[in-house]
Amino acid sequence: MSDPITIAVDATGGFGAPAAVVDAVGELSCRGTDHVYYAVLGPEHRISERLVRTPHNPERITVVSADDALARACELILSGEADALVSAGSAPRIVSAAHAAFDMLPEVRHAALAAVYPTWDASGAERFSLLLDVGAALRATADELVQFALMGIAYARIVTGHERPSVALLSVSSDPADAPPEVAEAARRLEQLDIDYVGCVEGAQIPRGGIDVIVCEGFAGDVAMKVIEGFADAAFELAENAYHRKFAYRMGLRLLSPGLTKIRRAVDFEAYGGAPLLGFDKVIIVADPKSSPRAIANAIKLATKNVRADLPTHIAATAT
Amino acid sequence: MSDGTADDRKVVHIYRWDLDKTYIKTEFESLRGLIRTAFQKPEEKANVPGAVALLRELCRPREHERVVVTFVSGSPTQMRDVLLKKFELDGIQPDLLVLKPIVQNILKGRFRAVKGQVGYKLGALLDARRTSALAPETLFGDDAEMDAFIYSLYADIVSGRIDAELLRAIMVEAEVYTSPMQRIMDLAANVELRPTVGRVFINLEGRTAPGRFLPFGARVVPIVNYFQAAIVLWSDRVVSLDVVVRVAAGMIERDDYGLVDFANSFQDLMRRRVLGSDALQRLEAAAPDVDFAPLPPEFAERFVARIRALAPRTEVTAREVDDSVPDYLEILRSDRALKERVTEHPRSLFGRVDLP
Repeated sequence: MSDPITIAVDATGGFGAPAAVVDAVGELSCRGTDHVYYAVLGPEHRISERLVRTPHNPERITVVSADDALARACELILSGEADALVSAGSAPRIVSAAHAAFDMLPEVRHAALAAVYPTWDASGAERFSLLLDVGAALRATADELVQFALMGIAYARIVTGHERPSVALLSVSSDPADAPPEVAEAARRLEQLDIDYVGCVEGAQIPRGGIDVIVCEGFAGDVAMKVIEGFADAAFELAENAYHRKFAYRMGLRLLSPGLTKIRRAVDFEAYGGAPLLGFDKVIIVADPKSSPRAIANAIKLATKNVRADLPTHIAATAT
Repeated sequence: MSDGTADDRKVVHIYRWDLDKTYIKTEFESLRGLIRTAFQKPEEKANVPGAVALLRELCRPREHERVVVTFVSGSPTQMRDVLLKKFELDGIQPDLLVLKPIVQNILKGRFRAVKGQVGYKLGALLDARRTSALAPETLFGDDAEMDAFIYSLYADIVSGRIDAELLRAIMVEAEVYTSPMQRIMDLAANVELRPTVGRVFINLEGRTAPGRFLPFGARVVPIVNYFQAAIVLWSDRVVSLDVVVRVAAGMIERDDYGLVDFANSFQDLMRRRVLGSDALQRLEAAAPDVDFAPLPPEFAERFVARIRALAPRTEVTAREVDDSVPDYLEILRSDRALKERVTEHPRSLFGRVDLP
C-alpha cells in the first residue's frame, strides 16, 4: 500500500471557485483507493455548504479555514501536513506565494510552468509533448532557457518514459542566427550538453509533435498554448454551426465523427489537468482559472502522480 | 435467536439494523455482484468498517440490563444459515433476524415487491416492535434503498405523528401492494404509541450527498463510518466515551483507520451541525477520565489537538431533533422526479442528442 499523501487544494482560485474545486475533490475522495487525502483551503462556510450537497468521502477531506488560502496551503506543505499544492488561481500569484514559502532547487534561478499537450507522430500514434515556460515569468535569459530545458527533460522522463527526451528551442526559424540574442545564446549552450538537442523550431512544430520538450520564454509559451486551445475550440464551433445549417454538412460530419471525436479527445486540455510549476523543492500544480471540476480533478491527480514520482528530486538531479 | 422477551433482564435499548451495505459490504448493483453475494461463504463476507466493533460494544454484557439487536434485511430467506454463521464468526448474537421472502413474492407474481422495500421493511419493523419490550431505539441503515425514508416513517408512526389517512396515502405513493398495506395499517393501528426512536444512522455506502437527507430532519444522521455513529451516540449520552475509544481501536486494528480519518470524520459531523462546539468541549473535559489504553500511544491527545485546530472559527450549534414530520409524499415524488432526470441520454459529438 502507498504511503498516505495530502494534496492542499486552493478553493479560492479559479472562476468556478469554490464549487468547481469542491466538486472535484468530492469526486476524487469517493474513489479513495490510493491513500490520498485532500486539504481544501478557503472560506470554510462556503466550502461546507457545497460539500453537503456533493457526493464525497469526508474521511479523506479536511476543510481548512483560511483568509489567504495560497499562503495557508504553503504553510501546510512546509509543516509537512501536505505534500503538494493545486490551485486554479492566477499564475503570477501562485508563483509569488511559492517564492515566498519554498526554496528553489539548487542552481535553479527561475521557475517554469510546464504544459503537457497531446501530439501525434508520423504513424498517427498519440504521444505527449511538453512546452515550457507557459507563463511563470514573461521573459527569460539564456541561462534560464537552458535551465528550463534541463527541467523539461527531467519532467518528460516521468511523463513520456523516454530516457533521452528530445529538446528544441522555440524560435522564428531553424537558424539560431534569426533568433533573439538570448535564444541564440541558449541554443549555443544546449548544443554543448550531452542531451538530445534538436535545434530551433518554429511554432508550427508545437502541434505537429515529434519533439518531447519545446522551450521558450513565458510570454511566448502562454500565447502559444492559448492559440492551440482557442484554435481547437473555434474549429469545433465552426463544425457545430455547419452541422446544424445544412443536411449535406450534417451527413459529412457524421461520416467524419469517429475521427473528429478522437481529435476532440486529444485536444481536450481538461484531460491533462494543470501545469506543474517546476523549479521549486515542492510539487505545485497550476490549473487554468476557467477549469471545470473535471480539469481540477485531473490537476489533483497530476499532483498526486508527481508526489509519488518525487518530481522535485528528479528535477534537481537533472537540472543541476 | 430470541425475540428479546425470554431474558428477564430489563431491555434498556433496542438497536435495529439493516444488513446489506449497513453491516455487510454487499454489491448488488450488478448481476456479477449479486451472484457473488449469493454464493459467498460466511467467512468471505466483509463487514462495513467499524460495524462489528460498534455492535460488539453495544451488545457488551451487562448484569441487570440488556440491549436488543434486531436485523431486518432485504436478503432472501434462503440466506439465513449463511448469515447466522457470519454473525457467529463476528461474535454477534442478534435477537431477531428478519429476511425477505423473495421467492414467495416471485411465485405470487408480486414483482414490484421483490425490489420494493417500504411494504416489507415497515411491516417487519412494526411487527418486531409488537413482539418485543419497549425501549429507546436506534436504527441503522444505508443509502442504497429507502432506509432513511422507512426508518423515519416508522419513528413517526410509533410516535403517533402519522394518522391512518396519511399513512395510506404514503403507501399508495410508494406503490405498496394491497395486502402488505393492510397489514401495516393494522399494525400501526395497534402499536403502542411512544416516541422511542432516537437517531437513525444512514451509512453512505453509495456516497450519496449528505444534503439529500436534510428533509428528514436532524434525527437522520448520514455517516461514512461507525466511529461517527459512536461519537454521535456518545454526544447523545447513549454510550460512554470508552465505547467510542474501543470502536476506534477496533477500526484501527481491523480496518486500517488512522488519526486523520477520525479527525476528518469528526470535523464532518461539526460541518454538518450534527455535533456542536459543546461536543468538542465535552470531549476535552471528559478525556482525562477515559481509558485510552486500547489506542496507540498519544493517539487521543493528537486527535483532540487536531480536531481543536480544525474546529470552525465561530461557535457551532448542533441541529436539534424536533417533532416536525417530514413531507413524506413530497420526498417520494421528488425522489421519483430525480431518478427520471438522471436517466442518461446518448450525446452526439456536438453535445446534443442526434436527430433520428
